[in-house]
Amino acid sequence: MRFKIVSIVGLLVLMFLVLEPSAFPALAQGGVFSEAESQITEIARQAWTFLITLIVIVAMLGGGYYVLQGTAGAAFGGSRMTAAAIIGGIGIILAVLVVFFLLPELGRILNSAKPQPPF
Amino acid sequence: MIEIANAITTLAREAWVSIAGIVAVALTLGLIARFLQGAGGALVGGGNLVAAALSGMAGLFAIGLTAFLAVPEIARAGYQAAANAGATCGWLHPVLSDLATASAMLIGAIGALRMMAALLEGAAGAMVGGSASMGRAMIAVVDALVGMLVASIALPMVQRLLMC
Repeated sequence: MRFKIVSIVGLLVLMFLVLEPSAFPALAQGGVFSEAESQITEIARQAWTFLITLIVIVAMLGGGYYVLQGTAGAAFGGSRMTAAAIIGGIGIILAVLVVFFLLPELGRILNSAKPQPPF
Repeated sequence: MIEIANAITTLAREAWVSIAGIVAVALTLGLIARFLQGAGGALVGGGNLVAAALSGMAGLFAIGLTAFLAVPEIARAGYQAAANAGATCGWLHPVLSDLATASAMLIGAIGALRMMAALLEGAAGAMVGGSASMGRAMIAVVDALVGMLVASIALPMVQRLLMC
């Protein structure tokens, strides 16, 4: 019963779309999904900002941790500890560089490589 | 029938463009989320977290490659196969021809959208920290392909049955 109602409503909407395309200007301009896409993109931008902020916080905490480890190692002569701290610090710097330069470029490449409808 | 199929296909094209854009956004956010997971794991010494992050990134790359390279080609091939299964049947030719064209358009459009939506589901799951699962996406791909294959042989069989 529900399926019949949905199918009848769907057919009526389709008939209206075919006969009165001007009733939905979105079809002529950016498409019916452009509004939803812009809302989702806005939420994604805010999520991106949030994640970048979290990465900065984690990187600073990690940097502080490795500085502390290196300082402590240097203080009592633990060369391995100091070496591990230096390697960890360099790793964090490299990781942040990857996130800040590589990922945005990757996102732009993905956006530009969006496939066109195959039908 | 053709006008209705055209209207549905136009909507489906706009939906495809939107879904492809959202997949690109989901992949980017998923990569950064997995990186954050790996960085957090490295910070606290959790090797499992780092491994999970790396495997998640690999899964996201696989989803991206499938969505942007494989799915359009599969959809195009299936659409062509369904469209080429045209039927000519004398006095029934206009009816069967319209039916074949409309069916090919709808099956190609809906099948392609199903595949893309399944990949979006996998990418979105990975984006929020779940597994970058391609299982459902692969099931949707096979489902759509079987539908297109059936459509490509159904109309010639009908033609044979009607002895045209």
